Amino acid sequence: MKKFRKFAIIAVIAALTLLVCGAVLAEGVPMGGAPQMPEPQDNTPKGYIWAAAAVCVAMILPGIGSALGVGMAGRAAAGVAAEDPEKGGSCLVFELLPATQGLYGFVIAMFIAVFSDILSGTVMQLATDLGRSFFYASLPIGVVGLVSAYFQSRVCCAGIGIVAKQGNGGMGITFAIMVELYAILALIISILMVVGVPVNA
Amino acid sequence: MIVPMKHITLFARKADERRIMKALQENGVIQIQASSAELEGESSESAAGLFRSACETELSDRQGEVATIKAALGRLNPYLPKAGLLDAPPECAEDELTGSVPGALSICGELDALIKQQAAVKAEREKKSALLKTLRPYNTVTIPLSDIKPTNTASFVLGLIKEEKLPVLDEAGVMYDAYPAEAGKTPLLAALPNAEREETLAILHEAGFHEANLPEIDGTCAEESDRLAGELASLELNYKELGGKIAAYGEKADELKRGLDGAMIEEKRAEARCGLFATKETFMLTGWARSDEAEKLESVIAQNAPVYCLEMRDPEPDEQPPTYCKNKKFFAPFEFITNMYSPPDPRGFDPTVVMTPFYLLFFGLMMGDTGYGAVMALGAALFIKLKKPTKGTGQVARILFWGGLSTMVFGLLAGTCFGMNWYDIFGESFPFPLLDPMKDQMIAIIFYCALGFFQIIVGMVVSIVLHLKQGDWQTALFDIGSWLMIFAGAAVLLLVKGPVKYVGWGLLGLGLILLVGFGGRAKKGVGRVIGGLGKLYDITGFLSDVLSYSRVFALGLATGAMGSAFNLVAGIARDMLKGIPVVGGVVSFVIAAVLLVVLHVFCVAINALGAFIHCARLQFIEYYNRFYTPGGKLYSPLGIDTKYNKVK
Repeated sequence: MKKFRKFAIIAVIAALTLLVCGAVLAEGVPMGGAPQMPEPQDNTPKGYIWAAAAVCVAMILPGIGSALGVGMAGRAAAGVAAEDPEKGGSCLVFELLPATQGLYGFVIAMFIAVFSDILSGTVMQLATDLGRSFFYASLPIGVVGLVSAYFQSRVCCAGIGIVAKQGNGGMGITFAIMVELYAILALIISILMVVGVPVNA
Repeated sequence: MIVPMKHITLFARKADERRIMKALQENGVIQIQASSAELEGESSESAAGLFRSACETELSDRQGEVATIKAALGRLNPYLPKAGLLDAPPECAEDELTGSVPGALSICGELDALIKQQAAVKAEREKKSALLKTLRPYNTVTIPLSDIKPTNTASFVLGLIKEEKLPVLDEAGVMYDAYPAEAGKTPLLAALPNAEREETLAILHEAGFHEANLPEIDGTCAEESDRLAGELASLELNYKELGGKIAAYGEKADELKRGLDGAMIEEKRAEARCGLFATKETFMLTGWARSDEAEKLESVIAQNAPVYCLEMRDPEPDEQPPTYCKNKKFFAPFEFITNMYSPPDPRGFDPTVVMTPFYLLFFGLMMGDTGYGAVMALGAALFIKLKKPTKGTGQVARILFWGGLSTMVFGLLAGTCFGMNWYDIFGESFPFPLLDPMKDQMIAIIFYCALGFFQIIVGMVVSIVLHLKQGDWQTALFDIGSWLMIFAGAAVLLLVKGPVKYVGWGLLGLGLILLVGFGGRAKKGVGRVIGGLGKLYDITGFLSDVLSYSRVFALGLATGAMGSAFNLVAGIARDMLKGIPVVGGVVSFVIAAVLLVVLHVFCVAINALGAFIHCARLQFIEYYNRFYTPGGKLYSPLGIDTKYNKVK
């Protein structure tokens, strides 16, 4: 029950992050059935908000997952190293495995930042649709990165158990890497989506 | 190549046993197997039982020695001279190591005595400082404590009370002497008249009076405190002196390390001796030896035993010998990768040679950065040259060296250099990279998956060869060959136009017929038909295996992207710091340079780890799946296994 609560907390954090992003983006998005209020036309493109939100999602969600995952695995590794410092090296590999999701998120965040020109002033001219595309591109690695880092970390903790008992965690690394596949697939899709946004068209 | 094993049984005189065991350990030519079956039914009083129990006693003594020296080294850890990361271990003769065990043990004894002494001093110090703390509030009491004695009419009590409660005592008519307060509360010496003792005590307690609980001391509290403080200072000095003496033992660390290695050698031999079976005059040794070392084994025994009987035979079908792989120097480190999964079955096939080229190919593509490759190759080469690592560490270092070289090549063909695009460095006309995964994503993914498909085909061909060698032509043709035909047919249909494509249809059809027709040949009745159809479902396995290679694209791109992001970060830092007047140029350059070095080193480390593991996974799951029989146990001969010194 306790474990479930922990995961529920992450889920809530993730949902809140998405919600905040959504709320930010809600302006300018026409609601399906809502009556159209006669507003003064605002023609400024809103792409930069979307792009900024995309960078946030790509960095925050997998970052949470990785921080959590590395933290869990690190605690388990420290326990083993306390008993037998020589096994610390093998445990370190397990601790680092869930770190990759955060790095994938970082890569996508940098991609979006570079492609949308968030680092320069021209991002203000980014069309709303293009910015929205960046946002959607950040979702695969954001959500899958968060969840896969958490579950990979649990496999890693079990793998550290293998190291503690057998001294050699070779097979455990293979088990843990299996979870990583989905983060990698998400990374590929995110890359393809970011690169596919026709910014200069 | 898996080296076949020989089962060894040796009978020799018990008098020669120690000499033989020592020679065997020095040469590392046999893995001793405990002969427990023979011991069954033997009473512990028999020669065999006595020998075994003597061996076990010796083993536990040796284990105790190892543990003692290890513990001493652990205690001395803060004082040990720091060894450089790249220092090669010192070389020592074996006899020198085993000879230094008694010396190391006596050092351990001295050290232990010192540590015990230090602990005693510490305990004494704590006791005294606690007492000092108790006395502190009473330092202003000017009467010697020994003088506070009951008189004929009253007794006296010393304690602490809050100053504002004194008027309460005055009102109640208690007689007392109050002294200046030092730490919050006022020391109070109250008189308890014998007639009203209980009442007075009650009044005092009511007012919040706490009786002092002091040991018997001569003189005043202040005098006693001074004396204690003096004692404490000398104890402190003593403690420090002992600490210095202990720290000085850090210089004897080399002797301890030699002793530990010697003790470990003896422990290992004692452990192996527990596996022997002995009668009154002879002993029997059973175990496994490499067939290519059989002659060496015999000559080692012949040199050390005048009389012996040595039996060598091939393993029986129901026996599981250990696995030993012997490969050319280039391939040998890559056995590490296979062993990470599982050593090969001793009767199976050592996949190292057919795996290594693919490992290097995908490792290079996953790292995909010439600059990082150069850093890795240089670092690994330096590490190997200076540290001279052996066993696992040495294997990993060599894998990283070759992986680094491969990364340099593939960084040029399809990657970056320190996160920079080649055409950004050398201009648009620079012909490399031939395939830029950043620009042609789909082509890159398809290309990497095609490479993976090729590896899977190679795995299937290896499997066919292995099955044919075993004479199992049915599996080779119906289960694997049929798929190859289907793939070949499909390839012809996709790629070739014109009449040749009928060959494609033919191959495809033949493959399907063989697969569906004979896939269920092991079953009977209906299962024979349906089983063949079920084999078609394997196509999903092929598909997922091939798609798994798309990770090469993602990891290769991630390395370059991470590198370029770090370049960007350093660039931004430089531009921001440039604005500082006068020193801006230097500061921005230094900060950017430091950032670049730190971030890129991190990037190399994390991506090398990723490439190492993901590449290994591709071999284990996608490749070995096709032909490999795991489940062996590594051959670990009785040998010399040291921690700090290298045996000459």
